[in-house]
Amino acid sequence: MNNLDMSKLRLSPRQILWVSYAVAFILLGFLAWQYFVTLRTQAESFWTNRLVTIIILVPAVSAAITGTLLTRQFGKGESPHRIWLAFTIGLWFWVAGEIIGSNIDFFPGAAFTSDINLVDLFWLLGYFFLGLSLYFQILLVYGIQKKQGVPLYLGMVALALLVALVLTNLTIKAGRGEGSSWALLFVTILYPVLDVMAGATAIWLSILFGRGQWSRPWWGLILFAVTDGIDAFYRSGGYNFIPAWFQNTLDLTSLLAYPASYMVAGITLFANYCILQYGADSGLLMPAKRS
Amino acid sequence: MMFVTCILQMCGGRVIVQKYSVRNLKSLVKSNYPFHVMKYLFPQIGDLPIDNPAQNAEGYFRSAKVTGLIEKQFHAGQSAVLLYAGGVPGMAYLLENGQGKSMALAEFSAIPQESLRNVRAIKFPDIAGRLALLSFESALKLNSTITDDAVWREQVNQWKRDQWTGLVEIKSETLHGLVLLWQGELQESDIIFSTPLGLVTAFPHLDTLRDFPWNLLAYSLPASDQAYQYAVLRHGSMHWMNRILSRYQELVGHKLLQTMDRELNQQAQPWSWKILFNESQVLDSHFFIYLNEAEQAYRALFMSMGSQMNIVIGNILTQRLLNETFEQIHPDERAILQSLRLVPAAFSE
Repeated sequence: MNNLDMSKLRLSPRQILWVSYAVAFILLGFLAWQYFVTLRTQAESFWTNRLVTIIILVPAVSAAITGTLLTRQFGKGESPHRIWLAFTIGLWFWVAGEIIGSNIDFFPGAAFTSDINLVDLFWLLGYFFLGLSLYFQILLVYGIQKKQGVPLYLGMVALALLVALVLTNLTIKAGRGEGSSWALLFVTILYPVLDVMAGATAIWLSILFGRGQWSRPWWGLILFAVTDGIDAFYRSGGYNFIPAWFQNTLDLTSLLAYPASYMVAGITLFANYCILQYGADSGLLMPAKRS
Repeated sequence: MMFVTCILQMCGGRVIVQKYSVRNLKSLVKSNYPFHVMKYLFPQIGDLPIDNPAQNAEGYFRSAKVTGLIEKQFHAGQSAVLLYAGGVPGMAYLLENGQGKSMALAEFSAIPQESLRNVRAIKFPDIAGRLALLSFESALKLNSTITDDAVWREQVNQWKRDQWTGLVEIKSETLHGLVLLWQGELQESDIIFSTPLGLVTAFPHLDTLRDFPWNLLAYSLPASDQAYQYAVLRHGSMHWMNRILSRYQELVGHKLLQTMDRELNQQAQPWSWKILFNESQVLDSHFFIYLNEAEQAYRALFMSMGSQMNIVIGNILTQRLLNETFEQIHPDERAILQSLRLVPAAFSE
C-alpha cells in the first residue's frame, strides 16, 4: 500500500476542504465588508491595508505549498510531473511578487526604472511558467508528442509579446496612456494579453475536463484573468464610460476575485494532493459502483 | 426418453447426424463402430484422488469450486466430457473423431455405468478450461506432424503471415498443449501445456524439448459459436482496458492508476473473478462458461473505470479517452463489444 494511513489524520481530507472553503468565504466576506466601509467613510487605515495584504498573501503561499506537495507525488518521468512543476514554479514566482510588492520599501534595489520593478519581473516569470503548465496539459490531453514541446511554446510567448507591442504602439498613436512611459504601457498591456491567453486556455481545459477534480486548479487562473481584465479596463480608461455603481461593482469583483483565485487554486491543489496521497480513502473519489 | 445427438457417419464430406436414445446409445458404444482419433485432454496430469469419480466427481467440483472436467470413456473409444468452471457444471460434449458435439447435462449424467470403460476427473486452471471449451467447439482444419524446431517455426511464421485466428493442439510423447492464436500471434494469456511436471501456462522452451515429432491439430473457430465470441470478447475487453489504463496513467500519473487498479481488483474480488489489474496491464485468467457472464463482468469493470475517470478527469475527457482507445482495438473486437453494447457511451456520464 502506497497510501498513508488515514486514521492518523484528525480530520478527513473532505472535512479539511470544507473548513478551508468556510475560512475562504469568511475572509472574502471580511474583504467585502471592508470595501463597503471604506466606500462609505472614504478612509483607508494602514492596518486595514496590511490585513488585506495578509488575506491575499496567506492563500498565495498556501497554494504554492500545496502545489509543491502535489508535484512531489509524481515521479520525474511522469507526464503530469512537468505540468504541476511548471504550475508550482509559476505560483512561487507570484508569491515572490506579492511579498516584494507588499513590502517594496524593504527592497530598495527592486526598482529597475521608475515604472518597472522586480515585482513585474516575478509576475512575468510567473505567467511564463503557468502558461507552460497549461501548454503541457494541452499537449498531454491531445496526445501531442513531446518533440513539439518548449520551442512551440516559446513561439507562442513571442506572439504574445508581439501582440502587446502592436497594441502599445496603437495605444500611443491613439493618444492614450499619457503620462506613462513606453515600458510601463507595454507591461500594462502585456498583462491582459497574457491573461486572455492563459484565461482562454484555462477555460478551454476546464470545458474539456468538465467537473473533473484534475482541472480545478485551472479555475484559479480564470479568476486571475477576470481580475486583470477589470484592471486593464480601468487602466485603458474604460471607467470613464460606465456609471459609478458599475465601477463599484467591478472594483468589488476585482477585489474579491484576486484572493479568491489563490484560494481556489490552493484548495483544489490540496484536493488533488489528498486524492493522490490517500486514494479512494480520501473520500474525494466515489467508490466504484458495485453491480 | 432421453436423446443424445451423434455424428454417425461422414460420407463423402457429408455429416449424418442422428438422435439416439440413451438405451440405444448403450448398444451403440458396445458395437464395433469405428470411433477413433479420440480426444484425450492433458494425459500427463493425474486424476483427482477421489473414489468412484463417476459418482463423486460432481460433488467434488461443486464443493471445491474448481475448474476441470469429467471424462467418461466408452468401451468403443468414444467419450463424453462435462466441463466445470469454478465448481459450476457448464457444457457437456460427446467426442468423436476429434470433434465435440454438444449434449445436455442430464444426458451426460444419464450415461449408463456399464457402457463405460473408464471415468476420469481432472482439475485444471481456468485458462485450460476455456481452451478446452474452444477445442470442443472448433472444427479441425489441419492435422500434421511437426518434426523439428525449424518446421514448427515455419508453421508459426505462416500463421503470422496469414494473420490466422484459431486453436492449436500439440501432442507428443511428453506434452499435450492447447494454444490460442489471435490474428497470427500466439497469445501468452491462452497457453496451457500438460507436461510430466504438471500443467504450465507458458509455451515450453523449445531448446530443452527434444520430443519431436509433434502431432499438430489446428482448429478453426466458427464465428457464430459462443465459445469463439467469448474469446473475441475477452481479447477485445482486455485490449481496450489495457489501452484505457495506459492513457489514463499518462494523464494522471502512476499513483492514481494504482488507486484505479485497487478499486477494480476490489470489484472483482467478491465475484471471485480471476481478473487482475496491475499497473496498466489486465490479466484475465477467469473462465466464464457463458458469454453473458463474461459480458456482465466486463461491463461492471468498464463502469467502475468510467465512474472513477469521470470524477478525476471529467466526463468529456473520459468520453474522449474511451473513444480514442476504442478506435485503437481490432475491428473484430470492436464489433463484438458494440454488439453487446460495451461501447464508450455506456461508460461515461
